[in-house]
Amino acid sequence: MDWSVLVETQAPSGAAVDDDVVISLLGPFGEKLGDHSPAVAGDGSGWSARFHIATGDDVDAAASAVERGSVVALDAARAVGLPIWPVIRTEAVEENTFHAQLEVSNFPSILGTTEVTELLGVSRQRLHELRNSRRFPAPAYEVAATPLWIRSTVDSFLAGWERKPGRPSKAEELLATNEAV
Amino acid sequence: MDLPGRELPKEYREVAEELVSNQGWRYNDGSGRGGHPMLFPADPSKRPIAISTTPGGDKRRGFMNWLSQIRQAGGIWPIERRK
Repeated sequence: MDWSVLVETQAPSGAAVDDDVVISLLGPFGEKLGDHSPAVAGDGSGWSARFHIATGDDVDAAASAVERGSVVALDAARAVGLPIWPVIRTEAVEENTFHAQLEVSNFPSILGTTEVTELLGVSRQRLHELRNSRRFPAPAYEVAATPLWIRSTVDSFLAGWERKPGRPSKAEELLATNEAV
Repeated sequence: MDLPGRELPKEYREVAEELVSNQGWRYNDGSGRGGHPMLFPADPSKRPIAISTTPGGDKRRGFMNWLSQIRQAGGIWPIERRK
């Protein structure tokens, strides 16, 4: 199996070194890991490497990938003179899964008031009432122009929304009015 | 503001240009620091990322590993600008 392995280290408190010392060693570090298709990062507070490791197909292959990856990264770091700091994070992700995750944007799909009303098929006033009735999820962010919702939150609301035709009840209108004041 | 140029392969340059132009990252072509191009995240608590395009390994794997480091440091990619 093919894996993308992450090994991240962090300098213990008080043991950080000058940023330029680590940055100047990142190039040689990447070259040392060259056959593993690496990407490296670091400064005076720590360094990390993400690279390819191949293993067999056994059930504990992920654990083997992490174990082998840690040895590979630390050996390469030692060879180029990078500080050997404690490893604070390791991760192995099966390569096809890893690549598929990277195809999807890591910025969430967000909706403003206009998009939410279009998605729900309601007026702005109705959305206002829904928000005040507390049945509608709170926005993730509020900027001056509009509240912003994460798309999946609105989709989830829509999936479970028992839409009632006609005007909202007097009680619901009263509740909305009172909470808006 | 340093912008990435032809010292980077096209796929790396495309990401780096977006990060520097629109996401507050800084770029150094490596002429002064260690000889490798570097990207510095907009969030100063995140660590600089080297752009290593030396021979060896698989190019697509290397790019995807690099992209993962970029995203972990707060870079947004791919970009889906909508209106």
